[in-house]
Amino acid sequence: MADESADRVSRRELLKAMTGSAGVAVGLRMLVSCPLGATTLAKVPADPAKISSYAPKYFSSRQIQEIAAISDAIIPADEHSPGANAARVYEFIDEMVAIGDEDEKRLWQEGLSTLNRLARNRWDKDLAECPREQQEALLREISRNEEHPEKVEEQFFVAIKRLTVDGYYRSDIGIHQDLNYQGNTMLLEFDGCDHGSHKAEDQH
Amino acid sequence: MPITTYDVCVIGSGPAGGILSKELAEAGAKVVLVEAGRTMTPQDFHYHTWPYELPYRGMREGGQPAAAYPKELTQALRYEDSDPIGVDRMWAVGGRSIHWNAVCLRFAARDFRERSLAGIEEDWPLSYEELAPCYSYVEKMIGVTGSEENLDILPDGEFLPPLKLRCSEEIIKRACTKMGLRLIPTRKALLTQPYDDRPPCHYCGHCMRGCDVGAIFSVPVSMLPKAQKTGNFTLVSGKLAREILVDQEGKARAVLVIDTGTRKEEEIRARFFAICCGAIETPRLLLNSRSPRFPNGLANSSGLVGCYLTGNVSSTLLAYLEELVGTPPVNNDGALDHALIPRFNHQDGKKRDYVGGFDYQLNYAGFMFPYQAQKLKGFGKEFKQEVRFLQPGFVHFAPWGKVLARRENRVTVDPNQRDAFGIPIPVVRFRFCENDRALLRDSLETGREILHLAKARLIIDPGPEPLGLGSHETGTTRMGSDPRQSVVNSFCQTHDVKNLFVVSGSCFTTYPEKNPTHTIMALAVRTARYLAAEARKRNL
Repeated sequence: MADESADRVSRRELLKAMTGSAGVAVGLRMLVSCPLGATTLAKVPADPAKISSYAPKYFSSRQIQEIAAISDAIIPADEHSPGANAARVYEFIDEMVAIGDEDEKRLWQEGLSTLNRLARNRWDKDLAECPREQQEALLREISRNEEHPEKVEEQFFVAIKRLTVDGYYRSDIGIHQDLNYQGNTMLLEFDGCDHGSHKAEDQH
Repeated sequence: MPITTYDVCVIGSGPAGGILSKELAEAGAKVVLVEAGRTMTPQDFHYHTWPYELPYRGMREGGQPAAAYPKELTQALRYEDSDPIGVDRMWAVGGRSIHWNAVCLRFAARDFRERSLAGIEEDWPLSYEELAPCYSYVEKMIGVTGSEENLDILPDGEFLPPLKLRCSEEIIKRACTKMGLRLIPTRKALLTQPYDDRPPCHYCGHCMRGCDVGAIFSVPVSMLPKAQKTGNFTLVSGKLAREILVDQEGKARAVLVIDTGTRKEEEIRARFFAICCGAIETPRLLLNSRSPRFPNGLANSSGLVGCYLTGNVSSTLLAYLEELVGTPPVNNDGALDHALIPRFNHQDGKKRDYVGGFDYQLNYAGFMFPYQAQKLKGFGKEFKQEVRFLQPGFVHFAPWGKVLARRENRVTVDPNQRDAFGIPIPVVRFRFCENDRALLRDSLETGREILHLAKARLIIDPGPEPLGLGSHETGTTRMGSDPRQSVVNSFCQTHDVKNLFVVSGSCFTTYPEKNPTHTIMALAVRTARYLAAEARKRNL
């Protein structure tokens, strides 16, 4: 990380400022983690070449393309932030299913092949070849029963959405660019609410 | 190592054993503290690590030191005929104090008198008035943040300045006030100013990953250095207690330990012993310490070692407040939960079909991950934008309630199933009863009412199932004055073996809705004073 040494110094100074009393040897030194505030992020494009250059642990390269298409339709890029592919969610999904049990693996295999079959029946193309609008139409259909999934493609939707959400919102893009998360840093004081309108009447 | 007979051998280095050891060492006793785990180093923790810096984006580990949860321990347990619960055991110097959330609540006077006041369970052989000086001593020793509130149901302590409420907590408080309920700053063994030679909290929101600056009380940071300074203290780590050996007179004479690395066995001898291993491992050790004099396990003439396992019934409501959604993100992390709604169901006049109380703890779930993303329907841009829109309005609202102490909920051991060291494993049998479930349902109903009044735009409801025991397992070597109905007396001394003590949540006669550790620490102080006096009487 670029500014690591500067951050290490600033954390030590912060710790000294907070200590007040005679030297604190707590026996645990502070770990350097991320710089305060937003990270210096490498620009990660949603690049098809990048996806095809990923060496999968479990799925085939073709299946990675399919997973990338679906997860990026679930959490797409918008005006505000990049989407699942830029956050390399397909890599996360591959790693997670690779260590999943047999039932989970079977669901993913059957789910992907079922989606391909549905796409070929409709549009004479495999899922990965369909334009985004067609992929989304298929996802709308299989997500209709999201709260009570029954068919294999419905259960598969729930599974891939779950892992897409987990992977995206645990990525640097999801945490910092999309949600603009301000925490996991250090404050000398925690100021609390100062909005009179939030407080009980006797507290304004 | 030269053969030594220590004055006191303490087994288990969590808050109970850590405080007990330090107090006894300071009183002049030669103390050995035996711990199965090792000392954790900063490299074992992930204090501030971002999920994307971890394998599987952090999905395969709980954020707590994996080294403290080796499979030799975690796999050495079986549940039988149980509701889905998990019990929390670990091996590390400092025990769970190295990554706890540090909530410290004094029990109320009525919490010691369930039988007299509510006609249920049993009274403790100990009153609040007797324990209050020990609560004070602990608070002054370790530093506890809180505010003076004058509530009988939650006695005040000696506090450092209170945590400040977040916007979401002020809004909930506003709703509570309309309903005649109190919401107060919570109480934690967390420093809001420098104290005990430790720096104050830096509000990084990762308390339960371990506190890298020592602002949260932990045994390794706050107790062991003081114990070491006395010259009377020896820490023996990496050694698992297998059984306690007794002499011809039926007194404890040694603990047989196994080095978890070399598998070498040795005896550690002492004049007094204190088992401080939590509510699962403590009865396990006693039940595995059989002898001709104690065929059913050590200190078990009552047959009650392992019985009366309790904990807290808890759940989680996730809500998104109308006044906060869509606002610019702020750093809300703080010290996890800043707010507490103490028990109120004993005095609001409503009729209920259950006994016992519950409180609510707000915002200890953390603010990084958008939980609503796993619950909102749909996908695509609108889904993503809704997730982002809701996130600033997030409030986590968790009821914590009393579980009745019932004899049939228990820990036994199975000699036919042994761990990696040949020690019979604990078998846990636990079922919630209808009272526990009715209490939880009521807490969720009132919780939803509060959140509606606070203008929650969305409430994610987990359903009525209890989420396990909340890591607050207690009750399995219960305290009482009748040796036929209890295992230890009010000084945590076993009835059967006068030089054997048990200091742990396992001693709780009954267990209310409040977190257990403050009372465990107070009992450790009380026991230390009694044990020191006993030891002096015998001219040590």
